[in-house]
Amino acid sequence: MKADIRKIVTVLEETSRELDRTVTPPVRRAAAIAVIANPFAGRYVEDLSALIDIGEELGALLAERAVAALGIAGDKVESYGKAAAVGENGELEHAAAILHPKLGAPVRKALGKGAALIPSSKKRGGPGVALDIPLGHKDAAFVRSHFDGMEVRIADAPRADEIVVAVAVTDGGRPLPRVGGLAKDQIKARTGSGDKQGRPTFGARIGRAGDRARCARRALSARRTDRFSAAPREPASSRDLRHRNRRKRRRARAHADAVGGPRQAR
Amino acid sequence: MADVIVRKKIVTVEEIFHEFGPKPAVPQRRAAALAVIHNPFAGRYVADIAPFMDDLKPLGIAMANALIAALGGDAKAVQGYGKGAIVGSAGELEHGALWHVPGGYAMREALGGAKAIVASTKKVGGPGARLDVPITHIDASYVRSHFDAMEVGIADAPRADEILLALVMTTGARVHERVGGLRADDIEGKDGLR
Repeated sequence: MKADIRKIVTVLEETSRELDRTVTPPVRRAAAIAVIANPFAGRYVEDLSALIDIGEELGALLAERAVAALGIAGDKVESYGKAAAVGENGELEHAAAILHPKLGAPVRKALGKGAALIPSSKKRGGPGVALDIPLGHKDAAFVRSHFDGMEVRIADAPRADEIVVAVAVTDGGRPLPRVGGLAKDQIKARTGSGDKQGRPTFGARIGRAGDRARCARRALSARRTDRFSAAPREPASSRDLRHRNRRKRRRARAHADAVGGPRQAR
Repeated sequence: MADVIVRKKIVTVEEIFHEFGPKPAVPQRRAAALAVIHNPFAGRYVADIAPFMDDLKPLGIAMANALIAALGGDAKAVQGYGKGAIVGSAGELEHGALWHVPGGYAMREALGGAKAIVASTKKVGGPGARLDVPITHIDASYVRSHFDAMEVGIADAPRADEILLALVMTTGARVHERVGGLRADDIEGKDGLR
C-alpha cells in the first residue's frame, strides 16, 4: 500500500549563537515531516504490515528531503532521529509499525552509512501536537556531544485519522558541547556504539573472562572521569580492579555480619 | 546604528497535496523564514527606535531571497505573502512594528514590485509562542482564494531580550478554495487592492 500523503513539511534550522557566544560553524538541523492517512484508524487490526511498508516508503522519501534541506551530501550528516505522532483514532502501535521494522534501512542508504541505532519517540495527539525528535550520532550512539533533540509540529496535523512521521538529520551536535563523554573524533570503530569491542550497552552479558575484566575496568574508568570532564578517559589499572574487589568483599563481610550469615564474599 | 545579532534562522516549507478533496495538479506550497535576533531596546523605554529599521534591511532581503530559493528559485511562482513578529517579554509591541518596513519592502522588491500591502501580525510572547501569520495575494489584497495563514513558532525563542521575525510566501491559493470573491485572474492591478 502506498502512503496517502496529505502534506510534507521541511524545516531547516541554523543556530549561530548561544547566549553571548558565536557558534562556529553554525549548527544546522533539518527535519522532513509527512502527514499521512492512517489506514487502520478507528479499529483494531492484527496485521500491521501495510504500515510497515509505508514506513519503508517514508524512510526513503523523508531522508532524501531532509538531506536536501540541509544542503550537504548524505554521508556528511552527523546525527539523526525519527518520530511519529498518531491521531486520536489510532494506536501507538501504528507509530511503532511505521518507525521500527523498515524505516531505518532507506534512511541509512540515503546517508551512505549509519551504524548506530536511530533514536526515536512516539506519541498520540491532536493537531499541533509537538514532536520532540531525539537525535544521536549516526555512527556511534555514545557520542555525547550529539545527544540532542529537535521539536517539530504541524498546526493542522495529525487529524484523528492521520499519522505524522518525521525524520531529522544534522551537520553537528549541540551548539556548545562541553559535558565530556565520547567525542566524534574518538570513534574507534563503526560498530554503532563507538568503541572497538562494539560494546552494546553497559550491563550487557559478556562471556569471556578477559572481556569481563575489560568491561569492569571500563565501568570503573567511566565512573572515575565521567564527572562533566572533557578529558579523555584513562583506562583503569588492574590495581584499581583489585581495590574495587577488596571493597566489594569488605561490603559483603559487613553485610554478612549484619544479617548473621556466613562471612563469605560473593 | 545597532548591530543585528542573529541567534538562529529557520526555513520551513510546507507542500500541501490535498485536504481530503480532489488533488490539484500542482501541490500548493507555503514557506516561512524565521530569524531570532537580539532586541537592542529590551528592558527599558527607548524613544528613538526607528533607525533600527534601516539596520534590519539586509536581514529582510536575505530572508526574502531565502524564501524564494526554498520555493524553487523562481520569484514568479510566488502568489501570496505575509509577515509577523513576536517580541520577547522584556520588549515592547512597538519593537515588533520595526519589522514592517524592512520585512515588507524586502519581499516586494525581491518579487519584482508586488503591489498589495503585506498582511501582518505581531505580539509579545515567550519561548514557544505561536504566531498565525496572515497571507494575502501579492498584487491585490482582495483576492479571496489567497486569504490564508501559516502558523510559525520556535520552541526556544523569543527569549526575553529577543525578537522573532517572520516572513511567509506561498505559491498558490488555499488547496481547495471555493468560496468565490475576486479571482486572481481578474485583478485590475491599479491600487494593490483589486
